[in-house]
Amino acid sequence: MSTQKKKNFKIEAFKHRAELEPNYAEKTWKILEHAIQEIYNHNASGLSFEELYRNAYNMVLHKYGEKLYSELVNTMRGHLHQLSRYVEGTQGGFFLEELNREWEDYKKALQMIRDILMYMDRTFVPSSKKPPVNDLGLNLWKDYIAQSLIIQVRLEHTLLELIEQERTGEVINRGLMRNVIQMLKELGPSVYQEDFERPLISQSAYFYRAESQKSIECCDCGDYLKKAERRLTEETERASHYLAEATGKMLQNVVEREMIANHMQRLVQRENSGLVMMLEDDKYDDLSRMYRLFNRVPEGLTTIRDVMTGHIRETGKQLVTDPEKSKDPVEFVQRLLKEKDKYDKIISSAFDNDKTFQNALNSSFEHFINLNPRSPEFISLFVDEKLRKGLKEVREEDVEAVLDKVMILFRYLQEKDVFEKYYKQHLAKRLLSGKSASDEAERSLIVKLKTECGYQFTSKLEGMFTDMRTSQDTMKGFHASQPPVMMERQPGLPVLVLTTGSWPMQAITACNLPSEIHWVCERFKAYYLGTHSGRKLSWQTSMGSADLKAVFGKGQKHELIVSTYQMCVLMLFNTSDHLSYKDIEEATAIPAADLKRCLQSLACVKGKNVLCKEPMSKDILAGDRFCINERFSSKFFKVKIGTVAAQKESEPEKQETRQRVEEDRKPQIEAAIVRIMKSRRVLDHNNIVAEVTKQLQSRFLPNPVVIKKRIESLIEREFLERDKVDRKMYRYLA
Amino acid sequence: IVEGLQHDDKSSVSPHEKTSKKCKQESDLQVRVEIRHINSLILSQKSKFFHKLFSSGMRESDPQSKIVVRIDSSEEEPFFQLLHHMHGMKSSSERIKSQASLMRLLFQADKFEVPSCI
Repeated sequence: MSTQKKKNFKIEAFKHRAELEPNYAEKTWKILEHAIQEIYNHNASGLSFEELYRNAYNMVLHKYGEKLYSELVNTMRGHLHQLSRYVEGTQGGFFLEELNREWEDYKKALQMIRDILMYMDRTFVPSSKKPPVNDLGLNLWKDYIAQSLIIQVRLEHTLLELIEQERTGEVINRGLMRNVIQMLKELGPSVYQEDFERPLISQSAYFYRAESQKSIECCDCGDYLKKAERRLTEETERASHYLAEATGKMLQNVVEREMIANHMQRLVQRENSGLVMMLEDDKYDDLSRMYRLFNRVPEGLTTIRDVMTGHIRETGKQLVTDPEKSKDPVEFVQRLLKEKDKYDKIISSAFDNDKTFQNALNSSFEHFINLNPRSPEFISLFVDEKLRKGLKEVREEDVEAVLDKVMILFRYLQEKDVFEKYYKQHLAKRLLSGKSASDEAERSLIVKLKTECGYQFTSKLEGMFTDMRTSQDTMKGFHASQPPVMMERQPGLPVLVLTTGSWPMQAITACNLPSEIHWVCERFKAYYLGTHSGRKLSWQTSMGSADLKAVFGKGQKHELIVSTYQMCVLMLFNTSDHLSYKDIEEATAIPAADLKRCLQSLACVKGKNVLCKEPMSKDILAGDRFCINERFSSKFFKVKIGTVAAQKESEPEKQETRQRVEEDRKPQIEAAIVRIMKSRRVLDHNNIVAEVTKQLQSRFLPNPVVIKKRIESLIEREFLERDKVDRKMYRYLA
Repeated sequence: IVEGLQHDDKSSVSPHEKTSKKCKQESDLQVRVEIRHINSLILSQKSKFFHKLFSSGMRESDPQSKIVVRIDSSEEEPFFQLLHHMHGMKSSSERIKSQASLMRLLFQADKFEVPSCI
């Protein structure tokens, strides 16, 4: 460190004044004892601190520390003994006041005594391992006052009684309470806990048990919860005023247990005011109060969630299975959305956006939406309705919002492929009849579906849009290729060329088109096949529409907007006045069901009956005869004649769609099986089923029986084989 | 032989500056009274004894009163050294001459509880 020479440091014994008076210690103590008595008697201002300190210092210095300490203990005991007599003797109401006053005085005196004996506290006490003056004072107080038999019982009783009085609405002296309770705290945690906290907790439990019993009999759920909440705030407030923080927590626990946890089921299930009522009446305040309170007790939220889930499932089930309510698909979906909105709002405003509640809501919806096998169809119809006409009045953002909501419902669907099937049909109808109101909205939904289900799901839908665009170009080319003179003479023919496979088309035999149209068709066919070799064109006459100019008997001119079939029928009347059903059927070769519907719309709809039927009736029969209704009139120049078509599918159609969906699923299931077996090589039956289900879950829930059939079919075609030993095992044959 | 120290408050507005008298009183033998000026705030901060002295609620806490500290004549030199030290004055004038005087100073520091001096 340093090279400095160390100095030898010698300590010489320090010499005290050796000559002491013989009774030095006795005399000095008398001075101190007198001073202590004066301090107890509130006469401290006359004493000299310097003198007392010096005396105490000298006593300790001269090895009289032991004497000083023990004499001090004796003096304090004497004082406390008197004090306890006095406190015990106080009259009822003033007990706490007196006790508190004595305590304050005692503490002040103790402080002074400690100060003058400071030197002893610092030197003698640690070396002799005795409690310092302050602790000594508190211990003695505890023994003589706080835990003396009479005072202890009386103190506990008084404190608890006051708290109970406050609970029943009386005003008590909180400052006094705080001071006295503070005294117990200062005497040590064990004193506070044993003498006050524990009795208080058990008394409170008793109090709240009784109160909750009483209230639950007479209050409805909402009021009861309000009461419980008020009690909780009261206890918190009480604790902040005069109790230890930990005690406050314990009291809250008592209230939570006695008032909430013990009555949870009863509260939630209460008829007319329980959770179900609150949910139905959108009582956000009550619900959020219930959430807050139940959140404090174990199993509380689970209880709410279970009841809510049960309720949603129950109402949802009624909603989707009630045949009355599923009559109108748009209404049906609207109702689902409303229900979803309602619970979303409840969860966000009353349940603190709790994730577990959102999950419960989602699983409930998933549960009941799939109870009705027609849900996918209805949702698609709802979209159809929205995209078809809604947009004219509605702003774009609103449409987006509606579509987003629909997507939420879509996510709940298990049979997403069924939805796809219907969606394709409806989209095709919209596109072909030009009724799709906004290309943008259509695309937006496709994008949403794509993000939800992947490219594969929407590729065909996108193909439909592409067809629409290329058809426009093709038409331009076709018009350009025709000599202009021809164009004026022949009827206009917009053609949409659709890719087979992308569109939901059934193979259909074309009906006989009127000769004028037929001729244009042939020209287009020649043009198209001339530019694209190796393709095949077939006419989908069931999809088209036509504008006809018609002049009726009294010279009324109208433009009729009709379907291709209706056009074919009406064109027949250019050459003859009366035709029978048979004649029409022969001439047009329209399939019987379509023809009936088409004639019905031409002859039986009031205000649009351009044909007369003989005999007059609602239904079309094979023997009916038709003629032009010469007296037809309408206040519109353009008359749109719709086809009588059920918006919803009829029962056989439904069966058919169902069957097609099932057919479509087969290759998907097979592909999944092959994919899995290719990577696994060997797998047992149950595992295959589980994995296939998992893989296809995003589109539909495959039926295990169908999976089994597919496996068998794959074995037949020698993609797989059964294990020779274990028949349950399958082996992949590469 | 005993010594005393007194202080009185000159102005009641600022009790920080106090005048102290140091006196040696002649009792039955010889008592010398010497008066010194001290600063009660500084002393309170440096010494627990002085802190309690000024705040205990006894006679010395009265700002009007004179503070008397009785000391043995042998303690005189180290006591004043201690006072100087507490006031943060240079101790050059009272340089500690020997180990014995250092001992005495330490004794005073212990008695009046002046941790900064120990």
